[in-house]
Amino acid sequence: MSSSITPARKRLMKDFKRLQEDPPQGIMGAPVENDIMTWHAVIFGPEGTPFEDGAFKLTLTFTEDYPNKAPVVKFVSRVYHPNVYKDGSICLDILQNKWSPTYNITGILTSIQSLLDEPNPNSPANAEAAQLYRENRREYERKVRDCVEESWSSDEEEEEDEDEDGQDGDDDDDGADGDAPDADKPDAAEQ
Amino acid sequence: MDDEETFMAMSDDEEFPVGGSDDEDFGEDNDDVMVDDDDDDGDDEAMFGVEESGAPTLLVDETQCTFITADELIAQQVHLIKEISSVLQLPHGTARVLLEHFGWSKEQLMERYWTEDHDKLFADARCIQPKDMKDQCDEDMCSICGNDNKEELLQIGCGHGFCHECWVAYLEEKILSQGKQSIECPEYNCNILVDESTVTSLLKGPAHAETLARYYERVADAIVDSKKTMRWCPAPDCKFAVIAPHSKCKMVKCKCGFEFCFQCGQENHTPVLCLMLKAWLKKCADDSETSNWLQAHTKPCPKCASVIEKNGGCNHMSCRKCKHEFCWICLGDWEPHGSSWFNCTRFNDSETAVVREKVDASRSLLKRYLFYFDRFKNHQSSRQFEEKLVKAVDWKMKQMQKQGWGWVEVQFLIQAVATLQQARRVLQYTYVFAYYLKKTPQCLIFEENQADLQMQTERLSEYLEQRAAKMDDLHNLKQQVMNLRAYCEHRLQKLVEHVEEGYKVGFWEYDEKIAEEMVGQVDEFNESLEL
Repeated sequence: MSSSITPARKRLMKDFKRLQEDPPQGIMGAPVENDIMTWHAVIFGPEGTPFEDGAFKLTLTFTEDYPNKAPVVKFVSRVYHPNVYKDGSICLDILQNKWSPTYNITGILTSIQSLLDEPNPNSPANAEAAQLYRENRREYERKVRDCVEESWSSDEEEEEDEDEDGQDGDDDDDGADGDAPDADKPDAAEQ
Repeated sequence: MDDEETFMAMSDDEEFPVGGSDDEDFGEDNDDVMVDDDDDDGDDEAMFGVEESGAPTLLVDETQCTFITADELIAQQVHLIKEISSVLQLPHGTARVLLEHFGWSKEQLMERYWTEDHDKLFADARCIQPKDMKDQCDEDMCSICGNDNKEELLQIGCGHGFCHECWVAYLEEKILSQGKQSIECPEYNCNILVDESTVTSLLKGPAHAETLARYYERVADAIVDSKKTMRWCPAPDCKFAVIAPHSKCKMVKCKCGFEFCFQCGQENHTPVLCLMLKAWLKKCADDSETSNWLQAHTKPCPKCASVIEKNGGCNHMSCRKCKHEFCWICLGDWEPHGSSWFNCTRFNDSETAVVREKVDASRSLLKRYLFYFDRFKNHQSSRQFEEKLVKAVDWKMKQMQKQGWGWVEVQFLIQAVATLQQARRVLQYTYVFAYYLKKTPQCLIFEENQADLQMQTERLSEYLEQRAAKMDDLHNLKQQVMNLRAYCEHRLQKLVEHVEEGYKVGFWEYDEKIAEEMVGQVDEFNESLEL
């Protein structure tokens, strides 16, 4: 498995160790089995925010250039947020031009967690969410809570999917089904 | 083309020796001219009495620019850094970062250094004051890879230590992948710049030679970019930067021979201004003409407005989409046409007239564009063909030298080719100018100038291409070529002067599409004339 320990892999193992030893509140993450270059993570919505109780799943895809290059981080769960694209991509400076090799996985995930309640409406990835955030906070929060609820149900659906072993059973869902297969894609591509 | 006699007659034209005070006999007696003229081209330019101040700004003044290579540029900076470093008693790296911050201007740095608060000055320049420089790492571990061998950690005065491999990987990422030369400390939120000497010492050895070379390329680019009077020559493989006398400079000629616009970096586009050229190139590149083509060659279905192109002879059309049957000629329903469609009585129907008008307008717009584009392209391809002339003429020059002519005496041939190329280039761009010009009386004069230049250019081209190689009477050849060249140059100058005067006086009227923007551009141009 770990026949070739490249600097990127070595660093990822260190990150993993640090995350396990000192996990920040509301954050979970681990590499997928047999592939330390792909991680699954869950961020819980911070308390006292519209995202409270939400459990949002993400994938992190690393390259051998890590930590000199940022990983690709995507939400798997649907997240209604001014800085999150429809496909789950996140518009966050530290994942782009502000990336520094001293950042680690804990840093990335905590930054995303705090982004949830502190959106930057000036660089909208979801124009509607950005507009509602500015002009109609109540409606914005309602839509956020929709996706918080979904974050739990889609979890169950995914488990069901796994149980049914790939059968496209559910037909009355709202995009969550589209998300679930997406979650598997990066794994397939990486292996 | 016209024969020789016409040319002689034309040289007696009153207009010809305008301002030709330096050489008054020219034009009066063609036979004498230049036969005994062994000088280089300096003289024939003077012949038309172009006074220094009166030379059009849009023509290249070859004496005004200097040239520098990347290596020379960097050597110059090193010299400057040393000077600053000893005057201000600063470490080399610090002096460099400060200099770069002030756009490599020694004066500006000196002034600010003595007048401003140092804490702010150094923070703005993103470097650490010598008194605040740390000599040890803050932590015992490299925060990139976690290496905890303290001996191997390196920091740049801000206390953030990283091991050698991590530094190198970081620099490679910044230089090779991101093409940066201004590189910050790897630590998040630390904006202290890594100075050149640190980069050089970290990237030592053949393994990093390529990275380091790339780094220095970027350093030189940054220096050129920071200077408003400097620009890289855009010619492929040319290694020179051109230093212009002022930042508003228009057309310049690089040491490599390439002429370009100092403002927009395109090849010398006299007499049009950058904005016009930009609009033209955009028009040629995008498919803005496609819609005109559609309008000119298709008709909308009268019922569902689908675009229909007629590809057969029959005028009984049936729309594939809505099945509507109509007449291509009058766009009316087919039904009343019956079997005798040609008795199309509905021609004057008002609705039809509107459609027709639209089609006609588009058709004429397209025609107009194609007219100018065709001529623009034509001169461009002629220029490419005429590259061959350089070789042919070179051969002829060698032949002449074998027959006892001096090197200086045969230069007229290559100079004539240069004039030809210049005239072609100017002609090419006059069509861009004409395209955006509204028809005014001045426009007619311009068109006449253009026609004159075109005629002289074709004469010179024809003479050089068809006859020059075969001529045995070399004295006659020289006289002919020099006359043709002189007249061509004269026409060229007249044309450019006229266009420039129009910018100055403001008698050009431009197409609505660019008229508004042109106001600013022309003002800018006129300002540059005063420099």
